[in-house]
Amino acid sequence: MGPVLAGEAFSERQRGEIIRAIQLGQRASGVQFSVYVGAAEGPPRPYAMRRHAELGASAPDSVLVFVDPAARNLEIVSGARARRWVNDRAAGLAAATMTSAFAAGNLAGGIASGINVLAEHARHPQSLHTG
Amino acid sequence: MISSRHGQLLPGRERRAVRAGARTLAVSAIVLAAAVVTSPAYAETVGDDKRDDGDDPGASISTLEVIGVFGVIPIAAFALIWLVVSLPSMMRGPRYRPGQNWTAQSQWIGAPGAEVSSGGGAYDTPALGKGAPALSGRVLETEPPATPGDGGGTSARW
Repeated sequence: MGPVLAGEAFSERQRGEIIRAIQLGQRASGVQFSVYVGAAEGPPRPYAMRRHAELGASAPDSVLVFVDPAARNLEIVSGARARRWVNDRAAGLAAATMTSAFAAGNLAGGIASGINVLAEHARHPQSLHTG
Repeated sequence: MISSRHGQLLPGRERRAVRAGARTLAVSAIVLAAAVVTSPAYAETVGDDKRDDGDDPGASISTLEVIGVFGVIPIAAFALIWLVVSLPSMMRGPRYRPGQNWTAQSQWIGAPGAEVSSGGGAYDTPALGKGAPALSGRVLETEPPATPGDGGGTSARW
């Protein structure tokens, strides 16, 4: 409604949409996705990478989608192992998908479809060599 | 008609007079005919006590009632319509518009300690599970060890 968006960033339904995309992406690609929506303190890229590092042990397998709606800035940070499957070109493609949705005012839908793009690119044959 | 028929016989001044007279006659005839035709409609309106059947003015209403009917009810109707129109978007919660101030709380979906469970899947291996130690054993042979700062990604603006 008004220009002030206090409280929750997403409705229950929008949040569910993002969580579903994360779950499906995780299941399809083995890469863990994490979405942060909020303002960056200081330069966005280092801040997003610090956030990514906070994921701890799962950070190398994780991709963090960092969205700063106020600054209209998007950062995709992929962990060292996740980068094998989500290369920077795929991240760029997902970023283009997301920003075009964001520019149209569709924040939650853009995040969800961006994760879908990332997961689609991260899909890879499982090679566990357990036999 | 008159002027055209006598055009050759009468001089210009007389011809104009005849035409003006004919016009005056026609206009007054039309006005008179209209008055005669509509006169029955005015017959009963003379005087306050003369009314049509079923024309009952009833009791006069108070000022309060006037305000209620012509003020409160229309305003209430406007308010109701406004409510019906804007309620869905109010229920839907905040909506992002580019360039608009964003003051909502920051959210981390899949934050550390509150990971989104994948609900099981082909890749739900211990090495990739949450809180698992770095890859070990046989899996290490297929994937390089992760070194911090080896990550990638991209930046974009909109």
